[in-house]
Amino acid sequence: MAICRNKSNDPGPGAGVENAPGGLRGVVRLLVSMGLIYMFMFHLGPALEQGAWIKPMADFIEERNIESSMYFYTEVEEFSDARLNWQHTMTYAPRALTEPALCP
Amino acid sequence: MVENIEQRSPDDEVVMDKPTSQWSDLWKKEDYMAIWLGFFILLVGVLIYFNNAPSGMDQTISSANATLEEQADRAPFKTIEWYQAMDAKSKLKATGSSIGKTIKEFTSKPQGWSGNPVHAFYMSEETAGEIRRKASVKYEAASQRAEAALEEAKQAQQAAAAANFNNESLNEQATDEIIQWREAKASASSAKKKVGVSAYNQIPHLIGLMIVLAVFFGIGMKFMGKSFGQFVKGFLFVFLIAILAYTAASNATMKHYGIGYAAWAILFGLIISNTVGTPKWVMPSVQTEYFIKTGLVLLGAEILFGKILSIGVPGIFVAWVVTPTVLITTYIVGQKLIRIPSKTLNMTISADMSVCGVSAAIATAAACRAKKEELTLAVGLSLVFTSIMMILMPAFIKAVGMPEILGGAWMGGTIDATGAVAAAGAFLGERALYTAATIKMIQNVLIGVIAFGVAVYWCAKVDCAPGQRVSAVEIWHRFPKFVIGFITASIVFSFMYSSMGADVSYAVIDHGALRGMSKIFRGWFFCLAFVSIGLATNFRELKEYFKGGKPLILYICGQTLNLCLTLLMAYIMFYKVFPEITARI
Repeated sequence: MAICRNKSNDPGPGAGVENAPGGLRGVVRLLVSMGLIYMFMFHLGPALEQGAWIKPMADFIEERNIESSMYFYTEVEEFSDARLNWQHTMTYAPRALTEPALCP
Repeated sequence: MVENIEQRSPDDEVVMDKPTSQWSDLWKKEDYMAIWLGFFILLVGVLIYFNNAPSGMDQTISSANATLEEQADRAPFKTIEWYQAMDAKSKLKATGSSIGKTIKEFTSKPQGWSGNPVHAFYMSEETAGEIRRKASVKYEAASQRAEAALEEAKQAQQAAAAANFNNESLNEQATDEIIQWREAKASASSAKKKVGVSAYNQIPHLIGLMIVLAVFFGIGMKFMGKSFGQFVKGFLFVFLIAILAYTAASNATMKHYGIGYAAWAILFGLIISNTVGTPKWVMPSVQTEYFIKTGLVLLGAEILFGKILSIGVPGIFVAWVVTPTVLITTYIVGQKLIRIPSKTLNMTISADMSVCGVSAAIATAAACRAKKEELTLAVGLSLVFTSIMMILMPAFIKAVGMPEILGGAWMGGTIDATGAVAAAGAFLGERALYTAATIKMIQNVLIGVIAFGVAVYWCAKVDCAPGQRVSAVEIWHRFPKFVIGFITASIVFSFMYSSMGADVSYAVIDHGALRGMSKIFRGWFFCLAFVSIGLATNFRELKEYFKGGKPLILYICGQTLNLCLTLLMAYIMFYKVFPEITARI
């Protein structure tokens, strides 16, 4: 039984980069790009951070040293604490509330 | 075995394959090689950390558990002693062993920095001393606040105990004082870390790591019939860009915006490939799928199904009902209403928005064989909206006076990136953090199921000739085999986690084989993959996918549904169906 696949789903290595300008124009574009990144990282970003909406969160992240740019739970220490706390809350819940523990 | 016969259709864009599998696939195909390499790292991690459990672990666990039982019987709230017993268990980490520290040092990414990027790689004793002095002042203040909060909490608890814990008002006051103590303690712990700063030089370690990874992946390339030498030569360049990506991500301001290594890796790669051009000698090491698949096998080990059971029912309902609903609905809307031409783009965006951002996008894109440009677009959309939601949602929740737990559940189920969830949740309060983190962890576990489901669906329904039925054998031939490694790693580690029990698993699996080995290498592999994506992507091709703004419309529509449904389900679960659980949090 034949199965279709779209050929354009399998570009070979180097596909899509044939149109890079290269040469002097390429170098200029590279320098401009680096300049823009520098401006954002060292000037615009810090300036925007002082805004009323962003500053409280930025200060909080700095103070608590939270890895706010990470993508999975094993990369964030707070998740380890949260998991531990939740697990113990479920397993060793204060029984004076006369509720059974909910987890084995 | 039937050989692979290519038949050209009248439309040259479609290649008709006959399905085939051979035994030599086990060492010649990228999917299988990713599995062997991933399994190798996991095995090494298990051997190291299972043999380096913290000393006195069993005694500490049984003593702490006895205290927890006693305190649970004593008062209708979590007492100071309850928390102190839990804190004793939290210190049990196999990564704290000497070999764990050595691995961490050797595989470490560039360090956090603020004004001077050199500090990402090198810090002199003089500078470290200056930082310690400044941090000591803040730590002293934070430490005093934590001690004062502890005294207040003790007094409140004693007052409640004096009334035999029968006075609700005193009990509530004690609970509030204890929560304030916990928050002050968390601040003091964070401040203490900065006091521990010492001089470092990352450069020799990074060079060593580069050589190790070059050989590690190069051996795989050799088995697959490609040139080891050409790969290693180009790998040095790719690794260097990955270092730059991590350096940019570790800038303090960029962390505040939640802009992580994935975005920088793609950006730097794109800039190089679209300005001066990616050098030809680098291309043999631009192996996006190879790096991603190996990273995904490691990610599989971090998906522990046993965790879900230990962290409660309401979160399971919120995550496992809302997430698949939003995913499927957004996919259907994308196909039928918005009419996104590419099914793979549609699915990748739906997954990253409904599940958990970048990691879900990577797994789904690999499972449905999405194009690099599609993954780039999905990741970019996710990161932009993550930054916005991380800042706006806590502010909104506070402004409308939403309860902390409801707010935490809402953020956990809707903010894509895990780190951003931690920041937003902690900003609201401890209970919000714990609830948000729980929901997000359950969503993280969902990645395994989603990736598997998408892979099967794609093989059986999407990747086939119109109107033709696909047999189970053909599904097997077309199935992305690395998903098997991904799921196997998840099942094996979940089984180990359940067999060893939550306490021991925390010490040797969670804070051992996973955080001490799998997570570290997975981060590097994904970074290499995103650099490769950037180095092989053309801006013009990327722009094509923005046409009409359909991906953005899809994301906004899907996220709006996600926000509404998550809030509704969180309210129902935490306040109507399981209020007794909510009362304990």
